[in-house]
Amino acid sequence: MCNDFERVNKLIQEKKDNPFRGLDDATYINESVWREFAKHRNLKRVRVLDLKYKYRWTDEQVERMYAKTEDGWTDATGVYRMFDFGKGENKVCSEDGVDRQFHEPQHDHIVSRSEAKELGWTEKQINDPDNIQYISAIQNLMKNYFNKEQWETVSPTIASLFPVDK
Amino acid sequence: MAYPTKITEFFGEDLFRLLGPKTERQSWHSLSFKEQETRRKNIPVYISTRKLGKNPSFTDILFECFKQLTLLGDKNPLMGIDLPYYESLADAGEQLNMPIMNSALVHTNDLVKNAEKQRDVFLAHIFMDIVFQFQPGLVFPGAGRKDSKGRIFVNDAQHRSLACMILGIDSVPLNYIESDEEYWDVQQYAAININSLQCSEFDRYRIRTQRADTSIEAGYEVDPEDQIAWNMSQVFDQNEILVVEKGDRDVGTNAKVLTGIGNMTKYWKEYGHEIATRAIEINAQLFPTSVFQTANSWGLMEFLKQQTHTNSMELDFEIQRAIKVMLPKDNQGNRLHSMIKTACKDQNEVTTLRWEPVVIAEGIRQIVEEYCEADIEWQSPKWPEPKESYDFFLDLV
Repeated sequence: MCNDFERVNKLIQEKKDNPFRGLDDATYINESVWREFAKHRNLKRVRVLDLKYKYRWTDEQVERMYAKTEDGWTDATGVYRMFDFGKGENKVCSEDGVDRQFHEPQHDHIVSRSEAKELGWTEKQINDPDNIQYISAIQNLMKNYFNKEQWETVSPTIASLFPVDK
Repeated sequence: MAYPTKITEFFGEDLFRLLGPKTERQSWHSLSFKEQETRRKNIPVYISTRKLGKNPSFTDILFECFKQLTLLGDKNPLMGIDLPYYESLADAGEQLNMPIMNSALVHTNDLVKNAEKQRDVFLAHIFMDIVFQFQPGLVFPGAGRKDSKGRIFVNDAQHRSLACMILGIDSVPLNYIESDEEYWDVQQYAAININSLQCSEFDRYRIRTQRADTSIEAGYEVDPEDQIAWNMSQVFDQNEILVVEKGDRDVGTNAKVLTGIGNMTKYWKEYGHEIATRAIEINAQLFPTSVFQTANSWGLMEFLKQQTHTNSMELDFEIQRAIKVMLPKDNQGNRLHSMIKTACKDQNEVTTLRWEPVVIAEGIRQIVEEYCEADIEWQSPKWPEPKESYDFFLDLV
């Protein structure tokens, strides 16, 4: 459940401390990333390197993306949720469910691709780390379903649909 | 004796100068495999016959071969070897209890060579493939040209004819045309040596295995090389490894398919039955859905060779378990040797590696040191030349 954050945060921390030791492409993308991981042991970096291959980033862009990426996020109720950056065997929330939605980091174009294209941006500009952020899957889902105006209209009613158990 | 006079006059009636005292000779097959290998390496692979003139006789060629061997002094690979001696092919058939080819024979005194058109003599081939494995039924008729002077130019069967002469046989089967045109020497040579299909490593392995089977069945002695192929085939069968021809597109990329049988045979001979078997088993069990990677086996053999742990079953189990922690997928056979070699090349800034099995063995040592939890003292592989060893470290999680 989405309120199981303490347990999930703990599991994510445990996985960070004891990552999977096998050379597995589903977990470490490729041998080069595996070698880098062996030196830094940083799961967030593995996830950022995923974008390096997707958008053909330079090392400088990788560093910029890594530097700006947070380890987690705090929701509106003040709960801090660590991002489950691991892939493959290092993924903690491997089953679909509400918890996964809150801990799964997804990369998001800050200015959407369509909007950026309308503004005349190049592909390089659209996919630059300056226009990309990691957000939780649930945030990304919401962003997909609503535009800015719709979200401002509907969001104040959501909390009243799920009153907090006191 | 049926050796040519020119031979016996110089080397002695019983080839004393070449083979040493008769009482001190022993048969080639009574030597250990290691001793055979040492001697084999001393047999000149190639003897040039061009200096013997345009049309040297086979007696001249044989004389030159023997002379080259004796010039090796204490490294003469035939010193102390008891060569078999046969009066004729029929006599060989009788002594060996084997059938012979029913062919017309020509006397070896009549044989000459067109030195410009024929290749030179591959002496190691004569001894290793014919003399020491002699079977009279396999002396097939050669091909040649008889000129108007009665000389027979041998365009095919140079090596088996010389082998027969070494064994004392003075008449060999040979079919010839009658012509004074050298044109036919080239044509015959090309038809047999250029246009024919060469035997592949896979074919060698396949036929050796089958020959071992049929030899056992017929009650003949099994050729040592055939025995190796047969022993390997037993291990491959037990581990469900399929040996196929290189380039076989139907099965070439399937699980546990082995296309490098030539290399595998080489490794088997180098490391011996026990270590080779263990390395093959470890490799096959580690990566059951990979194409069988001979390089992994090679590195494992080198690594196993250095280990002193007395319980080999436990040792193999722990090697397998440790590698599996790092390479958990059944299809990662290629990864093991390639990542080790890549790390070594990158860190030493070289594009090709010397001592490849030692490099792979060293990588395996680093993996087992990191991932094995059992109390085993792992031994490091030994670099053949310490000054030229590679330093490298695998990145391990």
